[in-house]
Amino acid sequence: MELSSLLDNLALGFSVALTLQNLFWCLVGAVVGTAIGVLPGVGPVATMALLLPVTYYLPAEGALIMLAGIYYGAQYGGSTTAILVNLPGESSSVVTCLDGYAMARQGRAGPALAIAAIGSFFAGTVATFLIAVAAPPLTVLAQQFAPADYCSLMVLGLVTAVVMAHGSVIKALGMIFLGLLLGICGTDVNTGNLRFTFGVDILYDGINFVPIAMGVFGLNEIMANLTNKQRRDLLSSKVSGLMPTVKDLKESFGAMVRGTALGSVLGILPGGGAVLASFSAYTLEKRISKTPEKFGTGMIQGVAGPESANNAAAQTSFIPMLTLGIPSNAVMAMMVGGMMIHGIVPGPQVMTEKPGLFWGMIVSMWVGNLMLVVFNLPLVGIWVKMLMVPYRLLSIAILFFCCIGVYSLNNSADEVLLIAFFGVAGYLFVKLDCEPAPMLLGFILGPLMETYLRRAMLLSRGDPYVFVERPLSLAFLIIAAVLLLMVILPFIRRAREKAFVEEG
Amino acid sequence: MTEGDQTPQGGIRSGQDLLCGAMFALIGAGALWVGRDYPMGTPLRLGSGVFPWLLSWGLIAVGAIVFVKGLLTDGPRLTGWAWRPVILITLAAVCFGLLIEPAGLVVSMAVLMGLGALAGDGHRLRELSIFLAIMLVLGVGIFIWGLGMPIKVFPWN
Repeated sequence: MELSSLLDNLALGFSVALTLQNLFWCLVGAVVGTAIGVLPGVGPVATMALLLPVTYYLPAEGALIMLAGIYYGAQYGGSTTAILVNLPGESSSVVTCLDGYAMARQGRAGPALAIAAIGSFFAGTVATFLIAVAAPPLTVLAQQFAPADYCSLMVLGLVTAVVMAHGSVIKALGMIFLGLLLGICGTDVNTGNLRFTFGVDILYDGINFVPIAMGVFGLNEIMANLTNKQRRDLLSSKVSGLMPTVKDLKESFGAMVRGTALGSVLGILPGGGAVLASFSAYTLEKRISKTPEKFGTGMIQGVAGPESANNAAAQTSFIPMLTLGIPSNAVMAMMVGGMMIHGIVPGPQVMTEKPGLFWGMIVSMWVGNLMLVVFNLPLVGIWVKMLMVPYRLLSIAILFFCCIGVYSLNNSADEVLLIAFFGVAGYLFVKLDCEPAPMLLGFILGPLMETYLRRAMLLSRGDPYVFVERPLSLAFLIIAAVLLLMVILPFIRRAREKAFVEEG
Repeated sequence: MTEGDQTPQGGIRSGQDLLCGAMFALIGAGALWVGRDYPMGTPLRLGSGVFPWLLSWGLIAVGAIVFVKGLLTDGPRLTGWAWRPVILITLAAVCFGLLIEPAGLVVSMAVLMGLGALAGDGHRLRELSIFLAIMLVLGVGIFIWGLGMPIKVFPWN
């Protein structure tokens, strides 16, 4: 990758991202993201689902810039709640509670918030650069993929999502099958046959992505949160002395670098993303620390590491989506949904066909991170006030925005009924300890996978061995098989469970 | 992540796994049955039935494994459903869907938010009525005047 073309690309990106309009959408996304990050019980997936219908009215660049802003904005906001209220505003901030809240209790909320923001910004900057460097060669590679390679890559992606899922591996596998099946409902594009429509007209065009996502994430979260009563013991002490000391910065710099590196790697892996990254970074910091016993009592590394890691992962998880068109987690599935609303098919061709959109979005992430680090700390007071809005009222507002949002997408009252259905289904899944995120991945990949499967078979004249004869495809399948074996074999499974439980 | 305790449950080792396995297997079997006549095509040109067939059997296999696991190993039991929020939130969304076109935005919003309010605890009448009034103004403002959605405001419009 030549430096000059990298600079050209970034210049193009800046020219798109710095237009007044796109700056505005970037700010909206980042602020909305921070707000929902602050609020426990409202996650980025649900919020992006809520705003998908709104993006219909925006130009494609603005829409995607805003949606991206919600994700990394949420990483900033989540830490605020974790530090001040000892509640994870976002599931990726669970570990930040441990040392962040301890710091706040010692009257060091300011430095904790500042370090979280600085760490996030550092990670965001590195990750943005990483995307800019890694995307073009990956895109070139992806353009050489044959249908069989793509199909195997999707299998690998889904298997990794299963392996990385928090709960039961086998249940995650079931949810993926279910998602794939839901994804192919409707008219079969290759043959025109109707599948699983049950004679209901709204299903003829397939199930829309928005009602399924809003039902499973939006309505379901309301149902679950109204039952789990949360305590909110807000620290009444004023946040004063925002600036961390030189000693704080020195102590946390190493943790930021390690967190960024770990987060960047975990973000690229399918099924990874911000949550896994923050947990792993905390474990890493604790393990290499000279004083591991002090973690949980206000170690600044315990804030800096995970907060850098979750932001780095939030951003590098865009890499597989942007270059291969394969979403690696539920948030990226939302981004794909946002692209499809604007008629953009995600994949390697996006970079060559719409370079302005591609680079504009990447650069906007860095711009958005800069906005967040500048605005976030002065606005802490507002975020804290927002936490005073009781969930019983918030839930009503979310419920309304879910329903009207789905309706406004196609002016279809039937789709509102669909979200009711998926809301109940989502609640059932949670009760049965099945994570809905793999289902959403399967749902997005279902039609793609079938298309590539058919193309591969057509090109090989009906010979299924094409999947093992092409070296790339074979490599993907072998990696997938090894990963699956690793989690199924008992002794490795126990180690994996231990890794997840360790910080729980 | 699991909520339930792991005490023995009268012969059933894990109610949660049993029900989960049954759910996957039943959906798989249902999909297999619904899709029984979808054409399979040829290896060269795969028909509409191939992919659903693979997925259905996948679901049945997963369901069977989870079900057997529920029979043989101890796991979390089923925890009770929070019926009130589940029923009321679902009902609220259904009513909204049914009312939005015939009755307009204001009525459907009022019904939706009223049912939504019943799902939560600890409402104070004054606080709630002010909140609902603000939401109604916001709703009409954003979606009718702002975005120009083609729906009625009142039933008589």
